[in-house]
Amino acid sequence: MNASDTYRTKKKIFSKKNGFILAFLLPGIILFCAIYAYPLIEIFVTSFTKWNYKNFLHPEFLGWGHLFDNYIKLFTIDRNFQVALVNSIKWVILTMAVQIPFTVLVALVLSGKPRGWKFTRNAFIIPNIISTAAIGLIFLNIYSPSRGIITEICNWFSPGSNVSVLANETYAFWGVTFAFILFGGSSCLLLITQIFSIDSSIYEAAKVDGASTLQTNLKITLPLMRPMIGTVSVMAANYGLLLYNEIALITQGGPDNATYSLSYYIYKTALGSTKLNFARGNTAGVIQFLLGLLLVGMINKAFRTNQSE
Amino acid sequence: MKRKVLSILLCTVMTAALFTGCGKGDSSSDSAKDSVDKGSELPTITFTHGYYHDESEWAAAGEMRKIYEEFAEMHKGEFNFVIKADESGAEGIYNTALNDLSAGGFYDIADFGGWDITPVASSADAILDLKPYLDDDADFKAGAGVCYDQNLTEDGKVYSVREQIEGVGFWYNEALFKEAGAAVPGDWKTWDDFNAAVDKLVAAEITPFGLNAGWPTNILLAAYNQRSADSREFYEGGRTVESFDQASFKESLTFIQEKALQKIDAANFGPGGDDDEAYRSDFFAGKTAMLFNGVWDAGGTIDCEAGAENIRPAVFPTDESGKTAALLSGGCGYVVSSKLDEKQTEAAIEFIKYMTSPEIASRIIEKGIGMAPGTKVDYDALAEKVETDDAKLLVEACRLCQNADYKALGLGNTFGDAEGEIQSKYAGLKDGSKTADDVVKDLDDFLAAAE
Repeated sequence: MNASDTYRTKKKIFSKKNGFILAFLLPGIILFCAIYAYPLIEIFVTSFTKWNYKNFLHPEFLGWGHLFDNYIKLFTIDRNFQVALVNSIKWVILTMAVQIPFTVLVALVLSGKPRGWKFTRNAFIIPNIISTAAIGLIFLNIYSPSRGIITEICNWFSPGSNVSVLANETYAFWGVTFAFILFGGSSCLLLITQIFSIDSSIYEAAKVDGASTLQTNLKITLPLMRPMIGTVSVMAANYGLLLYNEIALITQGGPDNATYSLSYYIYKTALGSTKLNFARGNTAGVIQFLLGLLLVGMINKAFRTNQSE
Repeated sequence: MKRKVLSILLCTVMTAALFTGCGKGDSSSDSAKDSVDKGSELPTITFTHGYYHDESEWAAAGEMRKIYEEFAEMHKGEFNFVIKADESGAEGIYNTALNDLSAGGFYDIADFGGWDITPVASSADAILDLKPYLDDDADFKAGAGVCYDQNLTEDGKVYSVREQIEGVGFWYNEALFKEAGAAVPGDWKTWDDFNAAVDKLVAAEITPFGLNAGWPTNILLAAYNQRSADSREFYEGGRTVESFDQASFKESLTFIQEKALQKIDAANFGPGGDDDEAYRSDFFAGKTAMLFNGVWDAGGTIDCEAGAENIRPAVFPTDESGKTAALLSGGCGYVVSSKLDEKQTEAAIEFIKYMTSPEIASRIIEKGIGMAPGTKVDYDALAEKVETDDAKLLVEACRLCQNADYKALGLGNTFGDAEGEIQSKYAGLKDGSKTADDVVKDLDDFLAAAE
């Protein structure tokens, strides 16, 4: 066999291999284009149009002179959008500042396999396997001004205090926040799995060197968990950014639209209004998408999730 | 080799699954419809409605289905009237219609149960203008009653009428009024009497009413707006108002804040909006003296803790001594596709005529389903005819609404999307963090943003 034959055989094998890879990827690519790429492009394009109930079937291009009108309106005169944007950013920050550290802490404690750790792990994951709609209803009852446990507790400490969590703008924000912020069960499970996959010889070596539990956790476990913490951070931050169910069930965006999130704003603007302002809703969708990208990029960079230890 | 075959098979299955998933669904219903079409030369129309509930859950739903089936049976020699209950209710029918419209389709005929599809469907030229048919037939027009005027668009079309309307006054517990020594609503001359009665109830430690950041408070606000010529004029402006910064509207908000929301404690205000039904359950449990809700809540009196004999219907006072006001909202009901052929259109119109006929109107009231829009309904005769206590109450409530001096649309039908904005301010008005001026400014900002 001469060099040219060898080259031809190698090329044939290579193209056959590529064909197989392509065949496997094809359904995925088609699905991606149909389910993600097409709507995404449409959302981008229609954010530069006038599209509501009046021209439901035919979005009208705003024109080059007014290209960013929808974006300008959102940031200048649409108070509900501004509130939604600020709230969504707050929820992202809160998930990063509260949910992730709390979940990491729980994972670290449970990984030591203290007594009852399996029960605690399972109990911690229960809220994540219950529908968020059910969780929303549970919290609606917890906050009920006439029969909620929060009201009962407040009245116990201060009779006749008449607390109504969801009737006050500030309390309502925190009411929605507490309906999801501590539920990091799925993340905790991933983190525990990551901890268990760490080579036990490293811990043995640390023990021989006289490292305390705190030192072991800080110097060995946490650094080795970094990529997984990054991954669960992306998941949690996105949950905060895309929050919808809890708001729709607990506050419906109120009081005084103080608990609007970007997702709830998009729904209300595009479908929850008789004006069916799809263009404005899609514009908010573009902003939410860009925020999501920015968030994923920042978290990946901060946690260097694509690099393993 | 085995691996290769397996790989090819797997790829084929995945691709086939993908294309199968993308295929057109609901073929069973299509083929079912085809068989009806092919099996008969009669025209076929499909009517979709949201009365899917089991009779034990909601008796009215069963009665409505019976009415539809009777109509289909009556006309089986003329056309095929296919009845479909949509288990997602009126909201689901609305959402399906939106999807269908984007694909250029629409139901043959559907009952939208208050969900207003007409602006978008008429813009898409997908629905039939019923006005020529109403104008041609005086009985049909009388049967449509208030729906004719309320649903008349700016360009002079009527896209929808209903067989029942939201007749809204309020209910009160006579025993609690007597216990507080307050004048009962029947004796009120103006809103001052309402305020005096509320004060007496509060003084007697009886909660005057339950409210929430939605429906019952919207009723009270809409009703208070009927108090004078000025406030009625502003209210009638509805969706066309350019600013809420009007003295009469600010006065209405102040009334809601000071004479309603701040007269009850937090436990009687459901901030979660329309889903919070404590205001109803508390009234029927005898814990509150008034319930702002429609005539249909006559059904709530059955075996209620408050005692059915204590519950009475009433309509709202005005500031014109002795004159009363009620809210009568037709809203969006039957809507017909404009793409039907002549015979199908005739069948659809025949159905709507039947549903708005005096016969069905009487039946709707007798069976305690609701209030009919027709102007020819004889409530005196009905009062004699009905037997059950709740049906008697319903007839009385309907009669009061029909005979009110001023009849207006509800807040949602009047202000459209602004209704949601208005109700989102109730919590702030209640705790005093907002004034009427603040609310008006926010509402004007909303109008500007919605442009």
